[in-house]
Amino acid sequence: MKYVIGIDTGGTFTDLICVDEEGVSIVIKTPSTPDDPSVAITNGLQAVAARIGKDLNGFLGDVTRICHGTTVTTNTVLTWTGAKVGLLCTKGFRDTLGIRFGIRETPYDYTIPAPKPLSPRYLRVPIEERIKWNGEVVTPLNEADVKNACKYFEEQGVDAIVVGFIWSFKNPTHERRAVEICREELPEVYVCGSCDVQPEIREYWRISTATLNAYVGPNLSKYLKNLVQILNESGFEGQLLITQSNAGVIFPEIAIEQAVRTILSGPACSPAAAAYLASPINLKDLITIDMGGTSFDVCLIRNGQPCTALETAVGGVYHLKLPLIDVHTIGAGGGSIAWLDSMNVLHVGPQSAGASPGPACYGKGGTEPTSTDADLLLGYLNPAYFLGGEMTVDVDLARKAVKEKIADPLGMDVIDAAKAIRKIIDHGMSDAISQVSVEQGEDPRKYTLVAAGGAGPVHVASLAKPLNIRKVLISRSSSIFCALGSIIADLRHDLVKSVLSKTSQMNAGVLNEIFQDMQSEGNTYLDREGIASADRYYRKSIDMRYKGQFHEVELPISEAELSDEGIDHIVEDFHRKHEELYAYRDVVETEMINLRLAAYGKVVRPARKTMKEKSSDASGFEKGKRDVFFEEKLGFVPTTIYDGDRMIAGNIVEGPAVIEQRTTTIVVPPDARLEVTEYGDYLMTLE
Amino acid sequence: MSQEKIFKLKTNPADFSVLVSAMFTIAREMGKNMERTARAPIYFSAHDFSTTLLTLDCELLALAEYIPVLIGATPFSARAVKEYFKEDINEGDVFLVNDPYTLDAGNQMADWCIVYPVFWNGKQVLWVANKAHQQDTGGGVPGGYNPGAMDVYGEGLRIPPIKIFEGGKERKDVFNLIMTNVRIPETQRGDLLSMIGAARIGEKRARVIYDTYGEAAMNTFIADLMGYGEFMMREEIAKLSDGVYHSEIKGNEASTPIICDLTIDGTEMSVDFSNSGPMSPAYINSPIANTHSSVYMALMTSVGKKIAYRCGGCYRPIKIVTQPGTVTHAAYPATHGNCTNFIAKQIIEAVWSALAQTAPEEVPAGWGSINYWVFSGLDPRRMEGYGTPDFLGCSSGAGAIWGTDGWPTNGPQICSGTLYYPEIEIAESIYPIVWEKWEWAKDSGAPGKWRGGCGVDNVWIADCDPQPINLAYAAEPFDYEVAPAIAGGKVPKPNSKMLILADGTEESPEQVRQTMLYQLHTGDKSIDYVMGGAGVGNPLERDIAAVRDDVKDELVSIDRAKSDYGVIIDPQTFEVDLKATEKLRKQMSG
Repeated sequence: MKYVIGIDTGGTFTDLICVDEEGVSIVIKTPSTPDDPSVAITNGLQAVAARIGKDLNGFLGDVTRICHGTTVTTNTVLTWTGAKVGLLCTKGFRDTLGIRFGIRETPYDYTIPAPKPLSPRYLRVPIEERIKWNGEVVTPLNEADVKNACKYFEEQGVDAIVVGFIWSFKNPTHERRAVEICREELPEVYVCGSCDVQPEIREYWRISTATLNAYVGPNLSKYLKNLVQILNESGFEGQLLITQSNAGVIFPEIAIEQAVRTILSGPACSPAAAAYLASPINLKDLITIDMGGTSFDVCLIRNGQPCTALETAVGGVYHLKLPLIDVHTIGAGGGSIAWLDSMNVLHVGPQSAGASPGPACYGKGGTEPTSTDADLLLGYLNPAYFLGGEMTVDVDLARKAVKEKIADPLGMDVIDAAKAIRKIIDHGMSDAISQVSVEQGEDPRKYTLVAAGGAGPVHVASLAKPLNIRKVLISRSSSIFCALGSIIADLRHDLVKSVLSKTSQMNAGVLNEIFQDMQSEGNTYLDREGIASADRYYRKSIDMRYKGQFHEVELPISEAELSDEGIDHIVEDFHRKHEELYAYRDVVETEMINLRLAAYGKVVRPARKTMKEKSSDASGFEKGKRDVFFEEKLGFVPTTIYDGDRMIAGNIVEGPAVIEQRTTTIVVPPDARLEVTEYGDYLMTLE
Repeated sequence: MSQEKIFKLKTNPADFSVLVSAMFTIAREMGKNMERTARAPIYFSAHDFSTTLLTLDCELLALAEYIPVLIGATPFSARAVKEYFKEDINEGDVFLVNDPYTLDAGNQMADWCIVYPVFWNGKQVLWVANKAHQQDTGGGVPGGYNPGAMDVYGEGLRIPPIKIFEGGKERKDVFNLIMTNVRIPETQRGDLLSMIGAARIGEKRARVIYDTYGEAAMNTFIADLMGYGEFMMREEIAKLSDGVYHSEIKGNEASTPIICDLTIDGTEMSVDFSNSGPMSPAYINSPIANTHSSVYMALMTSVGKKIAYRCGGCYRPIKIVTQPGTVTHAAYPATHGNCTNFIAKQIIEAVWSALAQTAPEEVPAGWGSINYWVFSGLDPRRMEGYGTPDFLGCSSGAGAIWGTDGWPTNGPQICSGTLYYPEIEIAESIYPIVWEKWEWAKDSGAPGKWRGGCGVDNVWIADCDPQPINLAYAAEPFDYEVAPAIAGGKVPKPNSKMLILADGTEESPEQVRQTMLYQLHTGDKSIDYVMGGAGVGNPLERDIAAVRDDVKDELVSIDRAKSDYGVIIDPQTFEVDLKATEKLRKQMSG
């Protein structure tokens, strides 16, 4: 028997999913080991091997592919533990990275200090050279400057070098030559050029992206080299693949070169998992929500494709420009703290009690009332079956916290206070869902909500209601979505070329030629990864705008559109999409700014297993009744509790009901109906 | 110290939080739409616009965080529309206004405001007011900045409250009249549509909320939110010591002083500019809407900086007094085109200066003034026109605040970090210019225990033949002091601007200020020094390691480390001579 494994390293747990050729899967959650994440991976793999009844070496010998999502790079940025980065910049433009195009995130509060650039000024060295807007050389590269800089970097003990020259995407010769010199002079140092990381116009974004790459590259390199060695020594002969923020995977060697592509890869694979699970039941327009302890992630999936964004800021301040899965995050989770301001206005979050001390009901010393405490008081959660009974929670502690911190100061009843907490956090989350769909020009009513994360299924029905969403899908493996998403992900390489042209001056010949060049470049990556021609596919898109606009709209392009008549079609598509997104279309000329191509290599997706047993009757899985609060009935109603871990395909449950699974709890309101799909997932329909 | 908690919310706590966040979300969504669809560079890049929801009484209900100095001015525009049209305000109407001298409707003529009544069930319930700086506003020169205008007519087209849509239908004749009077009607029409589109989105979202809660509950909520803002602001004012605080911002002999008498009385504040100097012959006079908006920005960045919901209620305990005919209350037909850039800054800093006397730990130090050209011409690469301020010359440093150094390159002060500078590659794509330098200038951030942020050297060379580049001097000509430098902090070295023409002729900073208008050709070079921000606290108390880091980063020279901060650093090793430093610091403080 051969196996495929997905491993997702999270802040608290490392999740593993192992799927065999028949689609039988094993899921393991093991505590993460932040100091050396590979320890948790080894622990998890050992646990999987034990479940199969093999030793680690014997088991890994049968594993063909391990797909791994790591937070090493994200954490490197957030904890300021990256490389000492030297930056070679065009003389006269030493502070591109520090100026950050002038933005201040808090325009009214000047007490927050300016973000520190990831390459400090004393390590940003001006080099004599200059290229013009059209690629013409104004000042030739002064190679002696580069060599002197290398000497200086060596003295300073620099671990990584970025070369970021003005207009390098237009004419990369200076930048590439400087990179070459650095590699010759300092062979041990990690070196990258901005035009090789992201060859797009706008030097701040390009250099900032490349600097992030250099900042996290050495750490990722060390981590992955060590992991590969451990796996190999344990008998693994298959391929290790690393997930990227675009939800595709790449080989470790390429991940090391393009380390920035793994930043924020954490939540990126989760939407792909949702799309994968929903497709056999013919659901293609989805909004995924993931509610954990501290944060709430939302992503919109249109026709099976998760939406992508082209830029973001890591830690809110370090900008990067790369295609990435557009996951919108707000500070709302089970641990979100409810608090009163000086005028006794109630707020929930964004501060979170986290896992430690955690919500008051955990009894680990937390005294602040949280969303989880409110959920417990309202009857949604079972104090005796928390995390499948592995953990006990104390309702009295929850009541005490809510009473003392919220109810008493407001002169209200504890339960009313818990309802208020729930209402506020639910509003924040449904508002986030609404924002995400509005930004994509979509009406959420057409969509199915897919709930993941420990707290997601507890809240999802309340979120769907104000948005008039009628369908909700909850996967049985919703707590390990990222690991699942990684094993179904194809290899992916994103390429871009800035063209900056009026559409009227573009023709199919030129477009085809540029796309062809990008395709060849993509193929060099796929060649290195040994992907057969038959398993390759490509997606093309063009960033367009009305003449003079500053922001572009990314339009997917079909092969048929790459003909001279096809361009009219592209323009019409642009008008339509612009109107969809921004409520108007214009008559002015359009421009093409960037051409994008994603080169893919297909992987073999594991089969999915259906449940053998089928019955609509779920009464055999009832495990009791308790009073649960539902807004609709304006009070607590006796509610049947089901054992989700035993339920079978075709089971139908009419609300009000609560389904308890080891890793989560699903709340079914009175006017809803829930059905178990043939894959064991839950489909809830709201009236 | 704290006032009695006399105010109690009538809306239940959950609904209150939900509704506040819903209202602010609407304002932000409108802003996002404008940001992403606008054309004019000043609008998408400078974020020189604001989106607001107002109560029926034209108080600010919710706003999005774009350029702060426009926020306080939208209620003026809505009030003017309300007063002018009275009963004749109907569903589907869209109003436009810009004129500062009709019912105090505008803060500056280039800032056009779309005023949009939001109807629900056939009855008006709210206003949306979206204001944005336009690429052109007619008048004597492109772009709305006309230093040579003799009166307001030379500065642009005066638009009193007018209807541009009636009952949902475009008034083509009126629209056409407006567009016939601006120079780039194509893009400007797009920008107006973008503002109106945003307002419609605001209306759509607001209606959903009214559907859910009903009018009575919404009225209670609105009263609660205003009460909340008022209470929060009163609490902040109550922390300040009662008294009258006087400040003056002065410039050179050609300038007119900004004089502020700020009175704290319990939980109320009065800000009196009556004693300010007479109106200036230069185009910097501040219409009353601009003065009010500037005062609000000054307060919300100092005493009110931690208030979460910056709604109109926050302004209730503040009384602003001005005297018509002074520089802080421009009277018809005085010119005023540059008031948002310059006099707004001085008004803000006058308020900070006054407050700094009683609360130095709460108030920012002054920011560097911006120092830019407005350039215009034809780009020979495309034979297309351009006309815009050089935003790269706006990148002055921010003032420090107690405990935090000022941010570098964050100006203009009135934008407070909401202006996005075009990167060099963007600037060189849209202007026939090659930049030689745009980086932090050494010793530009003024000394202090907390240092002012750095400004820049901005150097570029024209690459425009055969089309000339027309330059208009738009930097402030009066050398207004950067204020306040708080608690012993220093003020920054002033701006300068010079030209070196291709034939070697040098135009000195003094000549440039005299001449003001130039035509440049390929090879002519412009050299701007854009100043940094002011410092807070005694520089001799600055952390020695911070001084050393600044020297290592070449932001502070070794000489100035010694003369300003009393820190002696080895130029080779960057090591601090602690003994000598201690001695020097003692000597300097003595």
